Amino acid sequence: MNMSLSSLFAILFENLRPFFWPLAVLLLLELAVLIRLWMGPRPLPLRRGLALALPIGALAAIAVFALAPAITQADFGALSGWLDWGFLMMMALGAGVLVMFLAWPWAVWWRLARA
Amino acid sequence: MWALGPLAGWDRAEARLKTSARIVIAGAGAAGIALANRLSRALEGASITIVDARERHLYQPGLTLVANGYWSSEKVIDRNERFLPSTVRWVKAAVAEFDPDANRIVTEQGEAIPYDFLCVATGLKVDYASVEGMEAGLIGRNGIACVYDNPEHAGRSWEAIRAFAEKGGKAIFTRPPGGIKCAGAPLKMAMLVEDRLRREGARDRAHFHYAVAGKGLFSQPEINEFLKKHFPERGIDIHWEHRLVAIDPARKIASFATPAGRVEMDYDLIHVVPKMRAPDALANSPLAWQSGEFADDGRWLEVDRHTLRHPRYPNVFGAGDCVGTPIGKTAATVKAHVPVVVKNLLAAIADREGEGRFNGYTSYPLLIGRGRAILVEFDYELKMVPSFSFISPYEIHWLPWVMKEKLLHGAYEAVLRGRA
Ligand SMILES: Cc1cc2nc3c(=O)[nH]c(=O)nc-3n(C[C@H](O)[C@H](O)[C@H](O)COP(=O)(O)OP(=O)(O)OC[C@H]3O[C@@H](n4cnc5c(N)ncnc54)[C@H](O)[C@@H]3O)c2cc1C
Repeated sequence: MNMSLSSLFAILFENLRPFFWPLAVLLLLELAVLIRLWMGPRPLPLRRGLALALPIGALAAIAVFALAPAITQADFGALSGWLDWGFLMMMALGAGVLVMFLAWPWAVWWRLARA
Repeated sequence: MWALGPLAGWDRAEARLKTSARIVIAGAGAAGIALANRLSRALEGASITIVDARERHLYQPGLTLVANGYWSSEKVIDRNERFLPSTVRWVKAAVAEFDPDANRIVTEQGEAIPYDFLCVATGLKVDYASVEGMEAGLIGRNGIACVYDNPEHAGRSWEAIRAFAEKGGKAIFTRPPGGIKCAGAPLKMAMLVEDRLRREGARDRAHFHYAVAGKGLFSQPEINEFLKKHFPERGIDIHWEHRLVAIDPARKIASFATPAGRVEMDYDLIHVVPKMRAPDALANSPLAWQSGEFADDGRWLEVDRHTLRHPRYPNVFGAGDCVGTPIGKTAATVKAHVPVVVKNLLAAIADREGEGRFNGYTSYPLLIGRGRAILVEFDYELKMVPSFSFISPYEIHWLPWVMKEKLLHGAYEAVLRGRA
């Protein structure tokens, strides 16, 4: 049996459903910062912001890597072969990149505020 | 906004079929609710009624985790109301009588509900009376565990297992003959409890026995072979052709019918899995198989194994655990059943031959121990049919455990909403 794309979307959606309100608040805050940056002074310190967002993303990746087995009520001993380790690394990498992108506007804003 | 769901039906912009048909769905479990959602989206003008007295919704695949202390009971309890579409009438009563010759059902309150099309999705009955001396009230006492039926049983089973893990002793895990829901659950229970004792350094204090009514551990041959080696490697003794027939809770003695006659075994923990059958109203109706293996086994609903349509009453369809087919009493099967039934029911309304075919899809993560599982998926031919080509159905991994622990509950709800 193959899984259709719409099924995968639906499953993802149902898994995120319990986190709807926190996610909505997070996205609104993110949007607010983006709008503020959009309307604020130029040039934006994008690179300096990224320099700050990168380590935050890296920290998130490390945290996910370290904690994911325990969060799933397992431990590192349960992982076997490229499938499990690859999955864990992909998850950590994905979380890191996501957090980096989310943190970037905040980091730019913070740099601006301190300039 | 939520009712729209994710990109609601973005890839299936089919027109809704106009009809004034009266459709009754008996049972509001996984299959009944999924049918209600899909049918209400596919049809315009139909009158859809779902009949079930139970108001709470149980995420049964989570019961194994509850019974082993990984989840709390609350995690598997929800409300049917949250999943049923507003356009569907819900009659909060059990069906007492199926009367297919008059195209109606009668509820326990005596209300007769006529239909043009009937979907039977009543799940199954755990027949405690099939084991002499056994009753549901005993679960959690005198070393008796039973993961089946509901979170209360699973929670009390966990108490019995925890007590056993502290003291050790002799544990017996049983498997009855015939079709049972999640045929992997008795195996998972044995392996998870064994794993717990090993982790807690208490394995030396315990003896494990697996008493199976038949001559195999699992219907899928490769997994059967794997388990036949795996159980002895873990010190779980297999007792072939041992059918649990009686239990004496006070003396902690279990009796088994075997080819050599009745055998008694003492225990400190016993996981009782009673025989399972179609619910009485269905079993006693003309809709049940009248002869053959599915009549003898559990008087399951008679359907064509591919179309899921009743051969004698063509306006009746079946989905979920109640159907009499060779394999497939899992929530994953419900996911495969429901689109087939909907397709064939829509065709029947339009007076066409339906093209929906069910291939026997049966699946679950076979939990080997904490954090480790095998993702088993197979069809009527007992061939493996993996959904994800990169996950081997023959290897033990963490990923299928992650699916079980974190993702499948969401997947199940997507099925209920008719989106997956
Ligand atoms: C311990 C355990 C572990 C499991 N693990 C897995 C797993 O890992 N993966 C997996 O895919 N599946 C698993 N399953 C199986 C899965 O939960 C079931 O196959 C699935 O719930 C079947 O759905 P259903 O709608 O047929 O039955 P149910 O969900 O049981 O619903 C049946 C409904 O019919 C109603 N009903 C009964 N009689 C009547 C009547 N006379 N009139 C009206 N309504 C009636 C009941 O009240 C109930 O609401 C597991 C099950 C258990 C118990």
